[in-house]
Amino acid sequence: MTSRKVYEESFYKNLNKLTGIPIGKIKDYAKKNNPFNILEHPSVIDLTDRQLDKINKLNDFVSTYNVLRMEEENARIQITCPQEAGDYFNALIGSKRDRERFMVAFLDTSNKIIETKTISEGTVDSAVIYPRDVLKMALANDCKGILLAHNHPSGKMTPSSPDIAITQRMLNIFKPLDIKIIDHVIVSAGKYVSFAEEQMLEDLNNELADYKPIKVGEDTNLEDEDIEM
Amino acid sequence: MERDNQTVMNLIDILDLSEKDGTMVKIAVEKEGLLKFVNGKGQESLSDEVVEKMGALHEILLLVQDDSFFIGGDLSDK
Repeated sequence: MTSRKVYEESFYKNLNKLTGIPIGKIKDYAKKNNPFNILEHPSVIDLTDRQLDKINKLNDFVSTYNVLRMEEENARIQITCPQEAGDYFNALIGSKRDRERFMVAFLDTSNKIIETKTISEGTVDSAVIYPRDVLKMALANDCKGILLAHNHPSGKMTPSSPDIAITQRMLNIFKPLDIKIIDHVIVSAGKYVSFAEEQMLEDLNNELADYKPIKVGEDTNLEDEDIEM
Repeated sequence: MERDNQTVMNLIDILDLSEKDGTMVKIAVEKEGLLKFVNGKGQESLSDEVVEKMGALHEILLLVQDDSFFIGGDLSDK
């Protein structure tokens, strides 16, 4: 069965489940017509008062749902350049001096932020990241892009070896899923460093995906055996 | 807020929910917001039957958003 056929059957079955209109009746109509007409112009088929009431309420619900989605879409922050990413994360964690925080923004196809989550809060100079947690959140958000960020409480802006390593790991994990790592920004006290701006993302070669946790930090230079489990 | 209440009442009618299930849906929508609830959040405490109906509604919403699906294909109006 083609995926289109599966979707058609799903639509008929679900419409039947929610409105009580017999599947046979829906299918008969759909043989020669657009089945969405049943929703948009319910008079195209004979319906009981109850079925008509259900269709009307379903239409109202669909309209409200779409309005809410549009409102949410318009309210989303769009990241169009590294400066905006830097400003955004500086506002969130740039002034945090007590410990490192690693955040991830999940983006839609327009680079609008669907959700931003703090993935890890560590010590003053390091934080442990569990890539599988990021993966779970990315899939839950159905995102198309990911923006990584963390703060350097010391104010030192140079990316450390672990910073580069976590970026590498994220690239390796998400590339096969067609989810793009847009950037990794390091922020502190209004300043930022962007891997994309520094063209460091391009320099990272893709390797096999590795889901082990990894420690990011300012000064530590971790090897694989140092990874905390 | 009035729109939200009306929408939840519609949802309860569409799904033919009992008073108890309806109350649980109201609480979940209030907690998660309608969009997240429709997308599956806060449905853990609901019965399998209600979750199944929500799944049916969600699939219809997805197909309606992607209305190109039924346009221009074999099923479009002749």
